[in-house]
Formats: sequence, C-alpha cells, structure tokens
Amino acid sequence: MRATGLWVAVLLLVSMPLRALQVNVVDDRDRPLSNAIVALYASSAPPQQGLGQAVMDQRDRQFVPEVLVVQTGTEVTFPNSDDIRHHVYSFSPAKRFELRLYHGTTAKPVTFAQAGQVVLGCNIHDSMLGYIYVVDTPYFGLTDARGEISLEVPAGDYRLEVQHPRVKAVTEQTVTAKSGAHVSVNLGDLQPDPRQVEEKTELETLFGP
Amino acid sequence: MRLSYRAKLVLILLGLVVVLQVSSYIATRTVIRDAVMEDAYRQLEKGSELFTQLMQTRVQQLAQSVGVLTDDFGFKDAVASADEATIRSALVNHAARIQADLAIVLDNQNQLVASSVEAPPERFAALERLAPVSGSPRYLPVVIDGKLYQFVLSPIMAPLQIGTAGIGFEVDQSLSTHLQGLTDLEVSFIAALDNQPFYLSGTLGQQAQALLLAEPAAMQAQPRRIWRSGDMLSSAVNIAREPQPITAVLQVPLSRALKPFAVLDTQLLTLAFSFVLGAVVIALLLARSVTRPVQQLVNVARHIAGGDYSSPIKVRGSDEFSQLAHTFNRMQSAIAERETAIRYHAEHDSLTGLVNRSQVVPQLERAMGECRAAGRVLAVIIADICKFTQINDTLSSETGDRVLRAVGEQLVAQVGDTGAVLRLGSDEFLLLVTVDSEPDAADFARSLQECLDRPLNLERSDIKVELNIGFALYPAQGESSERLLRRANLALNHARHSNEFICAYRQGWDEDHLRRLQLFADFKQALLSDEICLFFQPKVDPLSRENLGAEALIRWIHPEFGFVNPEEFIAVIESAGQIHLLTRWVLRTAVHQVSQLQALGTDLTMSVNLSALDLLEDDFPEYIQRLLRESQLPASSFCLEITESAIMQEAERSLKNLERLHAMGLLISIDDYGTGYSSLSQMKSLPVSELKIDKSFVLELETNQEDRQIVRSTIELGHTLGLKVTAEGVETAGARDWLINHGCDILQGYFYSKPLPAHDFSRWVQDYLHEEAQ
Repeated sequence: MRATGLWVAVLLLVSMPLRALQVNVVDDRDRPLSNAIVALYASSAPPQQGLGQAVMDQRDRQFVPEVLVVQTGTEVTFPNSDDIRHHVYSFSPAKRFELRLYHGTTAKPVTFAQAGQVVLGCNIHDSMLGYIYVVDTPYFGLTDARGEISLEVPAGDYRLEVQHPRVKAVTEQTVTAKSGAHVSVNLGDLQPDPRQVEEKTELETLFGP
Repeated sequence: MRLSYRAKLVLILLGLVVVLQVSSYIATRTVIRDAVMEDAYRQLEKGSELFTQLMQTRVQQLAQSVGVLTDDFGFKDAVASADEATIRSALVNHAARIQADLAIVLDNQNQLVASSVEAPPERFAALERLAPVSGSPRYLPVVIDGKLYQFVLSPIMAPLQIGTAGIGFEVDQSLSTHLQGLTDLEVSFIAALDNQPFYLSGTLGQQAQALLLAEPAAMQAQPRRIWRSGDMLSSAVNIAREPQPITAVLQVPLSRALKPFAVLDTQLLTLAFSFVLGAVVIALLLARSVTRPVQQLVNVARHIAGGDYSSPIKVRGSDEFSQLAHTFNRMQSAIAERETAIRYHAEHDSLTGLVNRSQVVPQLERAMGECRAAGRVLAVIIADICKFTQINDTLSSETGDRVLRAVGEQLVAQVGDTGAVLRLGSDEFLLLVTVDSEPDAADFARSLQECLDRPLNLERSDIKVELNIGFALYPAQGESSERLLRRANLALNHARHSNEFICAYRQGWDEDHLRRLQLFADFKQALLSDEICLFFQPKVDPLSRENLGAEALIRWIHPEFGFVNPEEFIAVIESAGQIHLLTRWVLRTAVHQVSQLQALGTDLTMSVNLSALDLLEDDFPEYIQRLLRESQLPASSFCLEITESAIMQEAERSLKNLERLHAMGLLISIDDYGTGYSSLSQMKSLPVSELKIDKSFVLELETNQEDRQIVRSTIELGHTLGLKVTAEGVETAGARDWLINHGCDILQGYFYSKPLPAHDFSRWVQDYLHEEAQ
C-alpha cells in the first residue's frame, strides 16, 4: 500500500527537479519512533487533489496496516481478510462512517475528503484499533522502524507536520527541501498505547477487609 | 438488738434464699447479658459483612450497567457526536433499568456532558476534581450536592476514549432503611467534609447522630473493629478515602439488643421475688412449727413460775418438743407435789403438826373477817406452859417435845372446830377461837386450863403441866391483828408475872407498852438533845459542912410525855440492854460537874447510880479509870450507888467488878438498903463503904415506930460493919434531928434541898458553904 502511495507521489512529481528530504523522528528519550506521520506542505503551490486509492485490510482482528496515511480525496477500501465479520466504524470528526457487518470485500470503499485523524474501530472487536491520517498534501509518509523517512520533493520551503497516534499534538516546523537536507523531530512524551492498558478492575475488592 | 429465735430462723432462711436467688439471678443475668452482648457483636459482624456484600453488589450492579452503557454502539455514537439529548435519554434509560439515581457522561476533561437528572452543571463540580478514568471502570463514592452517591465510572471507548460514563446509586435514607431492614443494624454514612464529620444519611435520630459525629472512631474505620460508646455497639466500614473520607457506621443499640433480655430479666426478677416470697412463707411456717411449741412451753413455764401447776401441755407427735412437753408435764406435777410439801413444812410446825408462826397473821385476819361477818367475838388466846424450861432442863428435851406435842393435841381437841391452834414457837401456842361473848372467852380459857388438870400421859411418865393464858378479844380490844396479838401477849405476860394463870387484856396495858416503846425509841435522841439532863441533890454531913456530897439524878423532860419517871425509862432502857449508854453519859456529865465545882474551889463526893447491868460489863472499871484520868479527879470524889438486888444478880461477876472499882479508890454505896433480901454475910464480904437507907423507911420516921426501929438497927448494923450510913428522904427537921441523934452519918432529902439543875446546884453549894463561913 505504502509503495503504491509513494508511487503515485513519484508520478506526480516527475516533471520537477526532486530533492530528497530526510526526516528523523524520535520520542522524548531519543528513541526512533516508527509509524510517525510525516507530511510536507508546500507553501506556494496549492496541493493537487489526489484521486488515489488505499486499502485498510483487517487481518487476525487487527487493522493492517495499523496506521494509514492518505491524501485527501483518497478512496480507501476495507477488505475483510478474516473469516469472521467486522463492523468498522469511525466517530472521528474528519470522517464518520460505519461499515456494518461484512465479509470479504463487500464493503463499499470510503472516500476521505477531509484532512485529519480518523480513528478506526470495530464494534464487535473492541481491541481492534486503526488510524487513517488524511493529509492535504501529496508529500507524506510513515517513518520506518528506525524512525526515518526520506521524502523526495521539489526544492523549496515546506511546512513539516509530524504526528503520531500516541502523541496528541501535531509538531510543525518549516523546512527547506534541498539536497542532503536532514530534519530531526522530537515528538516528546508518548502516551500509553491504548491497546496495552491493562484490564484490571478494583471492583471486586472494594469493601473487603 | 435482741431477736426472737423465730425472727432469727426466718432471717437465716430468708437470708439464704435471698443470697441464693440474688447470686443465681446475677449469674443468670450475667450469662444472658454476655450472650446477648456476644450476639450483638456477632450481629454487628454479620451485619458488617452483609453490608459490605450489599455495597459490593450494588457496585457490581452499577459496573454491569455502566459496562452495558459504554459498550452500546449507539451510545458511543451519541457521545461521539455530542448529541446531548440522545445521551441523556440513554442515561435515563440505563439508570431506570437498575433504578440508579444518577447517570452522567463526562468528556475527557471531566466536564459534564450530560446527566440523567436536570440540574445546573455547577452541581457536578465535584466530578471535575476526580482523577480521569481510563482503561477500566472505577468505583467512586462521590458527594454531589451534599448527597452521597456510589458511582461506577467507565471510559467510553470508540475505540479510543471519547468520554466517561458513570452510573450511581444515591446512598440515601432508603438505602439505610433497606440495610437496616436486612441487617437489623442502625446504618449511618458519614463524610468528612473539610475535616468536619458530616452526617450524610442514616437511620439514626438527631441526638444519636450528634453523638456519633462526636466520636473519632467513626471516621477511622478499621476492619473487624467494634467499639462501644454509650448505648451503641458500633463498627465502621470505609466507603471512600478520596476525594473525601466516607465511612459507613453500623450500630447495634444495646438497649434494643437487650430488649428481649429485659423481658427475661423481668421474668427472672419475678421468679426470684416469688421464690423469696415463698421462702418467707415457708420460713414463717417452719419458724411457727418450731416456735409454737416453744411458745407453748414458755407460756406453761410462766404459769409454773406463777405457781400454777395445773396447765398440762397437750402433747402431739413424738418429736423433741413433745418429749420436752412430757417432761414439762411431769415436772409440773413434781413441782406441785414438792411445793405442797414445802408449803406444809413452811406453814406447819414439824414437832406438833400445828400451823406455825408464819401463818399467824393470815389466819388471824381470816378469823377476824369471819367473825366480823358473823357478828361474833374472836378470842385471841396465847398460852404457854408454866416452867417449861424446867421440864426441858430437869427431864430432857425429848420429854419437852413430848409435852409440847401432848399439849398441842389437848389444845386442838379442846378447840375443836370452833377455832384454830397455832404454835408460835417454844412453848407458846396461839388459839383463835370464835365465841359469842366476852365471858364465853374467859370460860373457854378456863376450860383450857381444866383440860390439863389431868396429867399428860407420856410414854414413860405422867407429867402435869399448867398453862399461862392471856387473851384479847376482837373486835372489842383491837381491830388489827398486830394489836390483838400484842395485847394478848401483854395479857399473857401479866398472867406469867402475876399468879393469875389466866389473864384477859385490860384497858391501858397496851398504851403503857407503847409508851415504853416510844421512850426507848426516843432515848438516844434525848441524850443528845439535852432532853435528858442531870439534877443534883446534896448529901449533907451534919457534923461537917466540908464533907459535902451529892447524888446525880436523871431527869427526862419528854416533849410529848413531859416529866418521865426515871425508874420507868431506866427499866425500858435496861430491858433493851442500852443502860450502859445512859450510865456512861451520867458518869461523863457528873465528872464534868465535879470538875466545874472544883474549879470554883469546892470539893465534893459525887454519887452516881449504877444499874445491875453496868456491873456485868467487864470493861466498866476501865471506862471509869479513863474518865478519871482524863478529868484528873481523884477516885474518891465518886461514889457508886448500887442497889442490893443489883449486886445479888450474878453476884460473882458483879463482885469482881466491884472489887476492882473499890481497889481503884471509888466509894461504893448500897442503895435502897432494906428493900432487898441481902444477907448479912453477903454484906460483909462486899467492898462497900456506905449503906443508904431507903427513903421509904425515912419518910414516916417521926410517926412510924417500926421504921424508927429498922433505921436505928440499920445504922447500928452499918456502923458495926464499919460503913457509913446515909439516909435519904429527909424532909423534916424532926427526922433530921432523930437521924443525927441516932448517929446517921449523912443526910439527903428535901429538908436540905430538892434535886437541882447543875447551875442551881452550884449556887446552892456556894450558899451552903457560905453559911458555914458565917
């Protein structure tokens, strides 16, 4: 999927001299942060509305990929690779939708026209959690396991936006795309992984001796 | 305090029962009370457990409900879209399902999004202070608007947290009441608001609330800790520590716990009281069964003490008391017999079998009563046997006894049933005889005398005895037994001393007798009070005025009787054996007089009369010796005049004393010479220095030839024996001259002077001696 995204981006930029911008994302303890959404907004040229497609698969009661970044207007399909049904929904303001119980590829694709974070859940499987970040720029990507991403963009000034599911705030900064440019972003403190929160209850022993 | 045996018995029994009852009551009470207390503890523990479970159940109910709510997709949708109306309706719906009091939704900043009840948002400000709830449901007791809620809050995941939903039960009165209904405990919820304990809700009344809030333990819940304060047994369960401490306090009012016990207590008490009451009754009955026979015996003993031996005790059964009663009965009859015997002996003379002296007055008075009633005369006769001492002495006392017995028998036979015979003692008998007139009494007395004319036929010999009989008559000669007896005795005395044998009481005897008694009674006082004094009559030597003497004579001027004849009262005093008192007084007074005269330069010889009894006193000479020594007068200044008869009584002892007195130098004179029967030979052997011719020979000297012869021969006799002769009763010059001519040595009489009081006598002496000087 990611490869496809990149591919589209590359196609879009063939006509321009491209510069690779290396972005490094770390947390407050300088650990490389994967799955950080990195997007570059050109200050001058209006972004081109993409008509791309993306897939958010569901496999083993997990959204795959966990985090998906798409340009506004992208149509995302939600195939169900499990042999059970899922009920995918999102109450995020950027895109509210609901795909009622379905098997396989029966669900209609969803178009994400508005930029923002869309949190995906399954009404049947509470543990399922997925994120679709909708960005209004063709220049975007996810950091790899080393917390790195290299974006090839036409030279110029950009607004760099970095987000992460476990970081509330959006980190913004201005960068200039030129050869060998390298930006390091510290996203600060991470929030606990929602899926890692222990299901413990104190209710049983409230009044015990 | 003295208690009767019965009271003691009752008290002891009662005490035992009371102690038993009290101790068993206390023991039972303690046991029950402990049990009740323990029960209360257990109730409290169980109640606490139940309470905890109940609270837990409620929490679980809430948790379940809130879980269902937050899992609901539609609800999530509504929350996500902030559709307040929908949210509220969902909340109301869910709350209604479990009858929860409050359901809320908070956003991620704990700001109220919606609640099941319409209220201003500021009411829920307390919720904003809560720590954000994430991950799992959390139980939170929260005080909202002064009401305590049990809340379970749960995050709303979609799939990330989009808010928090909470459902809560109000811990209100109904809960407390419900809990109370289940556990039977008082339930209170207390919160510490700003460190001030605050009573949220509960079943306690105002007063109990205040008491509870005042207790520090109420806010310091410790598991299984139970404390007691006042009436309450309490334990606390912690409900919450944050954001404010909240405690549930469970209490058992002891009064309530002990309420069933109070009924039991009353029953126990009633039981104890009835036991005590029963014990009283039994003790009383028991005491009665013991004390009644005793009381009976006491009563009988009292009768016996009072001399009644005829109240036998009814004997029932054969216990100790009956035995005692038997013994009492036997004792009664024994005492009665013995008393009869004793009384008989006391009232009767063992020798003659006659009633004895002790019965004189009762019998006499009874006889007097009978005679008074019958209008007859009672002769009170006392008889004795003439010369009975001689019979006793010459024959034997056994014979005497036989005589007494025989006389008694004769008297009884003579009296018959007209009267009674009593033995007064010795040989005296009292006869009480009823007659019709005074002459009859004399006749009867004579018949007594006559019945003894025949000799008494005793065992071996016949003895003839004679009676002296004196009698007095009732009522003519006395109204009282004492007087009658005295008068009969006087008559008997008279019979004895005269030779009449039978003598009736005569008027005046008793008065004389009483006068003598009076004189005797007054005598000592009279000596001290100068009623008795000495008069002095001179004894003159016609040849020599210097040879002067005087005779001391006693005078008694009695305040009642006036002048009392010295012979009369001296006889009384002699008979009472008190003569020595008088003699010694006379001697002392005479010595005093002589001393006084001596002080005036006059020596004289003082004659003092002695009684026969004085001479029988062994220490009499010593007494005179002492007087003389004290007064420093020569013994020759005193002459002791003694009658012939006096010397002749117990002549030996008298003579011995006389000789001693003579040896001391005292003059001794034979007084009233010629009236006795003294023989010349006796006279000769007496240490006498003077003969005093009785005045009966001198008074009629001038006219009586015989007297003159007697006096003349007496003077001659005296001179022959070497004695001086004194004549008393010289009243005329003729007599004086005759006596002087016939050689009488000393003269005494009215011719010279009558007896004079001391002062007059002194003057007389002065005058007499003065005459001589002229």
